[in-house]
Amino acid sequence: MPTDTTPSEWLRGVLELCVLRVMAEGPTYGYAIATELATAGFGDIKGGTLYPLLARLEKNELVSVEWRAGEGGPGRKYFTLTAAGHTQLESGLTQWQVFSTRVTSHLSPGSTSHDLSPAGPTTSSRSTA
Amino acid sequence: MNDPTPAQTLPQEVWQRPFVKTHDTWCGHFVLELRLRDVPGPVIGERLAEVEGHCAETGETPSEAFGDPTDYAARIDQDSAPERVSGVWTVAVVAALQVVAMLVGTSAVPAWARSESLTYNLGQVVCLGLTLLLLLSLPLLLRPMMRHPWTVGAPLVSVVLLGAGGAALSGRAELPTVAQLPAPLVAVGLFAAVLVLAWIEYRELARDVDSDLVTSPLAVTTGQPTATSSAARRAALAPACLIPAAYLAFAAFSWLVA
Repeated sequence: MPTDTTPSEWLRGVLELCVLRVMAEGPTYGYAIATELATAGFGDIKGGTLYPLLARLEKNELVSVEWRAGEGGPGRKYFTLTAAGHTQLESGLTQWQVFSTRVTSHLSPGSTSHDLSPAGPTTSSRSTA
Repeated sequence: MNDPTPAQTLPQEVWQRPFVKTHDTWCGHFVLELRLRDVPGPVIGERLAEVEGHCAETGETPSEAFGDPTDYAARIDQDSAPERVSGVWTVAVVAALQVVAMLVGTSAVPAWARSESLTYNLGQVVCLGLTLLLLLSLPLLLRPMMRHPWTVGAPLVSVVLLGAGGAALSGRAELPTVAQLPAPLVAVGLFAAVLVLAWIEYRELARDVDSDLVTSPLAVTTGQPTATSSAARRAALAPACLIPAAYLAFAAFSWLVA
């Protein structure tokens, strides 16, 4: 079984954060976002997955949009992170760091549940009987 | 990243674009689903432009990149939740009232020709009431009707015809009379009412013609026509004239055979 592909159910949870991260580099458009994510190893993100997410970001005013002439194409819709989008990205990155550390710690051989509390080691409330 | 210049944004109806003509089935289903969801025309045009732009970059077909057009339309609509246009219910109510006014008004013509009063018994009133309710519910039934015209649309039309036929047959049944009306007044008065309702319907259908066309934000290719509202205005006139014309035809026929 290949190990370099990301299960789609994992990607679903973090795709928005990854897209916001791509947008942090500057104004960009759908195909460029999909290409960058593919280059980063996330696989082929289809338009049917990407554009509803972009529409949601637009609705929540995390991005501003502008149609510009394409290079050889009919036109491109450029997305630019707003101040709210930057805030959302920073907040998401912080949450992801905590979450990924927790998961990594949990999956490490020999780890126990009481190591995973954000406040440090505590007594587990689960019955051991 | 390059610094692209702003695109020319002359309004152009999406149907004129070569991409839409090439993928007319996919685009047609996509636009229909968003129209049934009362999404404004320019928003639909923007969603379709996203599809066109993406497919132009990737070389994929809309089906390959976006899947089933109806499912994709539902998903993008759910995630973008644009402001709705709200004329559907007004048109439905006006059209339903027109149909019932025509059924009652034209049924008064034979009585008028025989110099009798128009009488209605309980069965006729119930049948007309049920027909009116069914017609009023059409906006809710429109989506399944468009998707399954034979399995949903045909039975629905049959039920409306049965209701109208039932009202006519009930006239021969021995049921208590609940209304007795002067036939000429009903026939002429309801025709006037149908004309007023037709005018309201036309006003509603033509109200947002200019701002509700499905236009593309993409640049217009030289030689392609831009959006025009005259055809849409003519299209709005046809349904508004339909019931008054049918009223006159049925009334003339009823008078002749009375």
